[in-house]
Amino acid sequence: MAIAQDEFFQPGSTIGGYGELHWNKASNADGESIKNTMDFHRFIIYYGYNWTEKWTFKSEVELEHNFVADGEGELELEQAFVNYHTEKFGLQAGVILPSVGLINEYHEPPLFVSVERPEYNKYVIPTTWFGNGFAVYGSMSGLNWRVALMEDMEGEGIGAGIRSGRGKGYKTTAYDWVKNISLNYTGIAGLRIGGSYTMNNAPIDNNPDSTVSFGLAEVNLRYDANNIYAVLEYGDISYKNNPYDYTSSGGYYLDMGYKVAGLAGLDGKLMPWLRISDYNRGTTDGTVNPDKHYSIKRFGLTYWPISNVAFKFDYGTHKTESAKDKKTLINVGVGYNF
Amino acid sequence: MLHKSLCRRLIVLLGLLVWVSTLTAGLREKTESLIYDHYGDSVSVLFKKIPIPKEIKSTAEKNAQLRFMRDQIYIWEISRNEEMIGLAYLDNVKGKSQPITYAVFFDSQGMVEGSHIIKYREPIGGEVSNQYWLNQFFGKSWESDYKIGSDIDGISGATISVNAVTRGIHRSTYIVEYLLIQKNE
Repeated sequence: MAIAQDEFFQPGSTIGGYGELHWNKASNADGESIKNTMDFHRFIIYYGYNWTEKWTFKSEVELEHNFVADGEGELELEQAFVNYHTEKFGLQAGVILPSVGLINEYHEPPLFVSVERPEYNKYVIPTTWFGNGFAVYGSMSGLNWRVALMEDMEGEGIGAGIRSGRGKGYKTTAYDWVKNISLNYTGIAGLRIGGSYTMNNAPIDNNPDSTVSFGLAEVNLRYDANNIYAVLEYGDISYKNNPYDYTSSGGYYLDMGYKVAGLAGLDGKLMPWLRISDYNRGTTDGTVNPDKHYSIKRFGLTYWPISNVAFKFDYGTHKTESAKDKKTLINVGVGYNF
Repeated sequence: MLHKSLCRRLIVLLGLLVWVSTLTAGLREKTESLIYDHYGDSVSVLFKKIPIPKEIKSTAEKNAQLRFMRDQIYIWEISRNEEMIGLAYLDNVKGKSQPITYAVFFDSQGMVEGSHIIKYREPIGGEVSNQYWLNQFFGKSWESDYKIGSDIDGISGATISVNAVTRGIHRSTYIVEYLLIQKNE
């Protein structure tokens, strides 16, 4: 009597999702209030369907800022792909995410400590980065690899970083393809260590003969065990033909926290944490633009009553090297996933 | 030129990985191979597909906070010199969208001696298959605590799989305890 490979499998659909509400307050160097807003920043519904044990469909639809009209808010098909998966190897085709950094693929709010995603994950790695494409992936003994080929970025949007070059799957070109190669290792308890390289000759205004080229190299490390929490991400983008003549941009952030066990009378985990971050959005031949060079110090408190829900508070400063722009920020938020 | 040669090497590497991946064994064969690795080559094993005992089913589901997906489970009775030295248990739990097939190895007192993910069918959350995480269940029984975060470490990015497998192993301890009591009566 054998156990058939698909004996446990039943075709069917799965629903999941995540979301986050933010209250953002900011003041300038003179202590004047420059921001006091509430924002249901992201609401995502995950829908998947399993045809067979190996062939499945997965998707995420995202509503940003609670509302879409007159250029406000965003409705995005953030993921929608057919997945072929075996134990050691898999394929994906559709709207996919490149494997770059810790947060682009694993962006559910209980997985990062601050109310907003770290600025690094906006201006160095432009999360959530998604687009049309194909990926091949696999794993062996804790070593995970993935190669993705995706739509071109939009060269006309690249400048102080690559964030505005994301095509988001909307009538994008495929002259050169974004090539994304990543590797990470998860074979040690609580530790993930990885890195990736992503490159593209991004057509300007859909013209393949006029491009902005970039190469994004990044490394990342996360340790979350024995009540210790530490995250380090470092990334560097090099450019050719950048319209602002930048030759590179990049930076890092470091989060360190300690989970306080057994909060008086409450279940769950409470963690005070500190973040230091430094990044620039434009360097020309080693000379950083002081208006585009940011440093961040932040303190926060995150409480997970259960692992799927996080209440967050953080406080800190954000300033440029030129000291033209110094802000003090207070953020309060709640996030969930299911 | 450099691009083309790099691409060609990548294609060869991917082809090799696909070929290696086709050499995987079936669920029963994989479980039995792990049973012999764990209990030793000299043991004899008796494989049984049994209905979930109704006397313990609802207690197991209630205490582990997880319903069974199917009505049957797989059991191997492990004996050495005609004395039963343990039980191996194979079942599945639902991950984010696909079943996770797992095996738990018990001693003759119903204590967990080992656990393995026999088949993981999702592209993310596969870290629950890592032995360092599964080793945390060593020595646990139906009387133990299984709270994630304090008794069992979570895994960032694999929350759903961690919850599912932890509850699945907890649930198995009740069934095995019941089967061992029946066997000894």
